[in-house]
Amino acid sequence: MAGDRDSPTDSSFEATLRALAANYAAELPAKLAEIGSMLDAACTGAASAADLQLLHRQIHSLNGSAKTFGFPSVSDAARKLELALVPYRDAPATLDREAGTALLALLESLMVAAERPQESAMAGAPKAAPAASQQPVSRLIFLLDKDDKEAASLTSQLTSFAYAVRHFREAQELVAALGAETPAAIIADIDSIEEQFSGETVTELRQGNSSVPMIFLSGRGELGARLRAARAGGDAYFTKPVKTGQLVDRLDSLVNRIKPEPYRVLVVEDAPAQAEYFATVLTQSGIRSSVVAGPETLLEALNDFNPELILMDMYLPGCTGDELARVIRQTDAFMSVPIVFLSVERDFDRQLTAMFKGGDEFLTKPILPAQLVSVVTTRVERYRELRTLMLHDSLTGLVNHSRLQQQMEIETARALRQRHPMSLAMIDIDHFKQVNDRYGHPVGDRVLKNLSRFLRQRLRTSDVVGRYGGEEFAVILSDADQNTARTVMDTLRTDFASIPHEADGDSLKVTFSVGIASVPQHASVRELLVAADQALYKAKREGRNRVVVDGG
Amino acid sequence: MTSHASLQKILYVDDERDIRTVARMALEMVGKFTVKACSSGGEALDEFPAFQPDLVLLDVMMPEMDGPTTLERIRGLSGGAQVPVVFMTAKVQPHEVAELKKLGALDVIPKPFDPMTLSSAIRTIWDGAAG
Repeated sequence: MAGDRDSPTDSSFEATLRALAANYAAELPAKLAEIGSMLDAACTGAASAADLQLLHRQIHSLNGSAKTFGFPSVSDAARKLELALVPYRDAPATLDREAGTALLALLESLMVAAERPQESAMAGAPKAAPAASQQPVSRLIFLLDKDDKEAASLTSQLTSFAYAVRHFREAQELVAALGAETPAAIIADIDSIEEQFSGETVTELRQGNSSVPMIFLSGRGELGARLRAARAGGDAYFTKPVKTGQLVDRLDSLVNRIKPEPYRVLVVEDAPAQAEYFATVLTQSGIRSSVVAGPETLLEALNDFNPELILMDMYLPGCTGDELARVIRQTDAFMSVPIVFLSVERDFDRQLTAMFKGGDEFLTKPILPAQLVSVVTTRVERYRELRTLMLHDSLTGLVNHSRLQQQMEIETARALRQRHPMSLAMIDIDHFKQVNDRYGHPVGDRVLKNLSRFLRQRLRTSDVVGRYGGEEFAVILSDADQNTARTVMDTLRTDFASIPHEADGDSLKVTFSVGIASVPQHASVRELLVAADQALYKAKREGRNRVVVDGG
Repeated sequence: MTSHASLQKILYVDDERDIRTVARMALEMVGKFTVKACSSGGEALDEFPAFQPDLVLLDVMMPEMDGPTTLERIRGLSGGAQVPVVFMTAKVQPHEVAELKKLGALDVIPKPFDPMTLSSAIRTIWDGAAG
């Protein structure tokens, strides 16, 4: 356990720590119950200042100790409650019903957090975590299937879309493995586990992992079987033979639903305690936030943080929120970003005026955490959908031509400024017209979708992948010189060529050609485009299915 | 700051028994320090003159005498005027850290702490102050 640390750990220390952690776990319910009854009393006005100070100390102590003994989420939840309680500590009289409701809601989440299983008391040390958590968990799939041949075929297909598959023959083995790591999804073949398949099996499968999506595969498509799968908590149901493209589409959306890129919220608030409170509530819900105290730093924060929603106090030093909203709306990039005002303002007319001047919503303080998170989530979700429609290609979901042009300008300028290399790769599918002519456009579209998904999965998130038009794609590889870009693209080319695409029961394989041009050999987007295009042309002329670097 | 020889003796004050046990063992076994652990500010003031620690590690929120008050009293003891003090407290708000430092503390170690890295965190603070 201490193998990779500087100091050797005395085993008696670990034993003591374990014993104390067990003790802590045993005492936790009683501690929480005490905090609960004290908080109850405080919220009904039956607490003195001394009571509140004692209560504060108890919560503070949980905050400061729970994680050490293996309850990180208890520490986090206690911290939230402590933050919310502090303003009333020395003035119990100001604790009114509304504030009480907010505090009790936080107590509730503290209780929920305490029900989560205890981690190793050394969990503060991430290095000590099971080795499996080091691999990108989000792409690990558990496959339950008694048929080895079928499992092998599914595994090889999913692997080419960058999923890692672990195959189990018995439900029990899978359950045992769930104890050690959490997959991104579970795919279970119902037919081959028929005798084991029941609601209980699924409950067991998902024990402690209720958020792991489950996909069922079955040879039977009748409603009864589907219903049973849905009742058992299945997120998707596929009849065999499974179409890989559809399965991967579904996997992508299920896996991404759990781990989307965190929302970015900019908090404009001059009171540090309030700002900290909002930031904490948002962070707890997996939302990234950045705080600015006033108008001076706002514009800078807009550009650096690129928020997807702005939470803004109505009254700021030197100006009002609605004035600031108008300033934000003057910037093209933030013309449509949602702005949510926060204030103790209860005057409906004033609220209306503020909305009219560029706000989208008005929240009255004190704001419950759940309310804040729900408003932020729905607003940002819709904002994202709209932006996707505006900036992305509807078939492939990749950025579209005009957005790609913009991005090329930005990346090229950055590379030149920082004196870093950068490469542009133009990709064109070989003989695409023949695919369309022979198999029809739906199959052609599927190939386009497969290629775009493949590129997105295999490239770094810092790389930009766009559909340039028709069967032509463009990739911007930041920090990659000619040689790196050639290696990367050549691996992609080889791997893609081996993926079968379904075509009405038949399957076909497709290749592509690539032309690459780089900074610093070229110093403008125009030059890069011309050079990459010429390289691509050369690749086609030399026989296709190859990568050609400009000048090479 | 006083001239730093090596850090050996730590006077550690925390009212919570289990945390005190973990931190003391972590400091002794991982950090190889000589540790005197006290359960209250009052006890720390009693022990200080004889123990003459190289560094004082102080919990902030304690019943009766809190960390800042204990620090103030230590400054009045023989050998206490210059002794480096490090606070330990549950992270709440950034400005609190600044306020604690204003009281003359060398640094603030956030709780919950990781027992395995507590000693190295203290050494880093110590070395930083020496350099």
